[in-house]
Amino acid sequence: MNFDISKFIPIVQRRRIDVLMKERVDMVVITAGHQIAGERIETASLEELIFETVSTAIAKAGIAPESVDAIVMSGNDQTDGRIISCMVTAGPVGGVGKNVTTIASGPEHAFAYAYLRLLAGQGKNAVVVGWSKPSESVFPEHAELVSADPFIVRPIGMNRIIAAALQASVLPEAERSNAHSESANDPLISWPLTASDCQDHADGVCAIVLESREPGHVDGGAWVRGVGWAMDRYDLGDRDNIEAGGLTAATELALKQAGDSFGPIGTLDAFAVGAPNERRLAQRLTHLLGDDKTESFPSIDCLNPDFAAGLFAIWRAAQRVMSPVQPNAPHFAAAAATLGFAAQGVTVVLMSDLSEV
Amino acid sequence: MRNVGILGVGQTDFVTKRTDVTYPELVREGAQLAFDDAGLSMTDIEAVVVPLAPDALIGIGNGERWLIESIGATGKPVMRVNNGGATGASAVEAAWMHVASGLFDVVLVAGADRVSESLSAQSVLNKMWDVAYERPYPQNTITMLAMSAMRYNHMYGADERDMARVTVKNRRHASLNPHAHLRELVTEDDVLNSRILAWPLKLGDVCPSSTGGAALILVSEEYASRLKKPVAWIRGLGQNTETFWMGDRVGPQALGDHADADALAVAFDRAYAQAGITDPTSQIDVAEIYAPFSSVEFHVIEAAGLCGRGEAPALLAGGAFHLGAEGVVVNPSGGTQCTNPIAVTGTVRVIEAATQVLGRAGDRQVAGAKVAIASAIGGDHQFYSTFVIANHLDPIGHP
Repeated sequence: MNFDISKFIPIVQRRRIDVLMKERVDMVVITAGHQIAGERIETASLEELIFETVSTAIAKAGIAPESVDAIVMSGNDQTDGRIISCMVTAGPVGGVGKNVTTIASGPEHAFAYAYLRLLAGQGKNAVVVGWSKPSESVFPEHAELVSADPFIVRPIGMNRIIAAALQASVLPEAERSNAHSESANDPLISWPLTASDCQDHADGVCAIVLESREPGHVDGGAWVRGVGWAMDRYDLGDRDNIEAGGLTAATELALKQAGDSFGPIGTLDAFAVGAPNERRLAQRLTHLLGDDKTESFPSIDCLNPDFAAGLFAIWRAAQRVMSPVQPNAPHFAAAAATLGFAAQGVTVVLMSDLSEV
Repeated sequence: MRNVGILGVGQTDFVTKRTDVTYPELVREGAQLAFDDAGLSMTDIEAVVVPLAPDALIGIGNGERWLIESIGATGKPVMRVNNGGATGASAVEAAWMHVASGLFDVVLVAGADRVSESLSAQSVLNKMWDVAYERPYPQNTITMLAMSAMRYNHMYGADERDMARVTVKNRRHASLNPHAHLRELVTEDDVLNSRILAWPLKLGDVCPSSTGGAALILVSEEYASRLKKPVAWIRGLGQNTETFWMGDRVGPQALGDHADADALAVAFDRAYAQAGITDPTSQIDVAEIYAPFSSVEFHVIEAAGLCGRGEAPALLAGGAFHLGAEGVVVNPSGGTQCTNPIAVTGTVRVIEAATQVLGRAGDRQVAGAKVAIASAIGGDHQFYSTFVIANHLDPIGHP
């Protein structure tokens, strides 16, 4: 089935960032962040990792713990082994006495929510925290399985790799196999995905500090120019699995905020389960953003803690414009991440090192 | 800051069990009622916020993805909030941020819960405590709040009959609310003679496990002005967070006290400051507060500033807080004690507050209500969410 998902988005007068800048209304800027990740971290508990990550991030931003206005966090209860995981993590994030909200649909959505809070004038800063520590789970695939509906998808034993394989299997052959093919050193996991196509389970916490500032120059900052997110249909059989669900709609929403002056993007960090799907996501996004020459960084080479991978991708992209390491470093960056079985949802974040149009 | 209002609300009738619908279908029921009330359809909705707290209770992780098609949200921005029992209210705050940010004009909050679908909700809820320390007691929401009730009674000289009076009031109110789950009238002796669950809490003191859906639609002032329909305005909102550890609310180094709800009082203060409320006892007409058990209602009333600490039981015994009484009416819907679909209980508090200030509450209407408050509590009395809702945008004055 092929349909233009963007037609589902009503056309409304949205608040464009370039208009905000001209009005000197405060904008949102990423001023710091920190991540801790490892294949299997056994030297610290989840709570300890969260505390260390958040403490370091706000210290980098020069914000005292008592000056944090809001905390937005995201994890996965089933993987954490608690039914309301945010209860125990609200302390380590420094949330006692503060406004804490858990956006359980994904850490990318938590990022979007922190951005909305600051645009709404609710505080001058917000800390976004996403985590995942599947090494504390006896069998993390079970957590994925119970996220499948109990009538159709769960009984067939669905998990993220199988779903990603189904998605990759309908890609044109050149797209699904241009990097890897099955070999003794790279066994088939779920056709057409080989081991090297699949991100391993990883532990990690990522914290990003967002602040509300007047447009201008912020040393080492990444201005958030637009955030878009959208969901696609739930069942794999009901949608076009070549596309990452909701990508067009999410990109359109982000671009409406960024305005015509945004871009061209120079760098893109994308996350999707399975290398072919991720390449497809990056290609489609760069096309939608109108720049097919963007340098894309594959997440397959990075640690991607299971339920926090999207926030890690946003942080990777932000750093490329926050701390340029080369003379011709890009001014505009994008991040995109999928969530859910075979990318039921997509989030797109557009950033730049300058607030000026 | 943009003004944000509630244009439409919907709630199903709440019951113990529904076997005729799935979770997505139940969410759809609540959403459709809100669409009908607002005169809108999903085509008009720009973003969706889903309140879904322990998804273990409905037996599917990240159930917010499962309901996308049932409400027609394909291709739209959707996010899910989980702040424990406060989720339903925190989701309304999240939707408020969507509109107040200027990025959206029309946002839907839609959710449902099926608490009784799990074979033992308390066994599930036990899993919210620390693995090594508090879970093995075994702690659950009843034993947790039994400690709170004991402490409150000890501190302020209240007793089980005071608690029973709360139930009698709320059941009378619920009998007037067609959506409420427990609507039968009870007497104080009925409550006192009911089965003890965890002393001093008895079956008559506690909320039911409810099933049902609820939804509301938030709009910007600009959008509302084009429709020319009555809107309940969110004039203030606040959240606050308490310590997770039960033991940190006991002893000389305590961060709080199980008798009181000081962190909730801070959340109310934040909402009051935004709304311009300086004297809650005279400026508020209705309080739809989250109190799942009879004992909780006392310290929530006090945290809201509707009376002093330890004064609520005597005031209630004297006839205060009832429908028809002078002063603030507390939980004219019957409150959480009579209906508790956890994920949307906070949403229902906001819906009831909005319905009251719009004068559309039927038999449970508080005469002349203009300003209402709503609140919710999540976790082990850990997450707090509060609202001030009025039927106008003028400064909130004194009567």
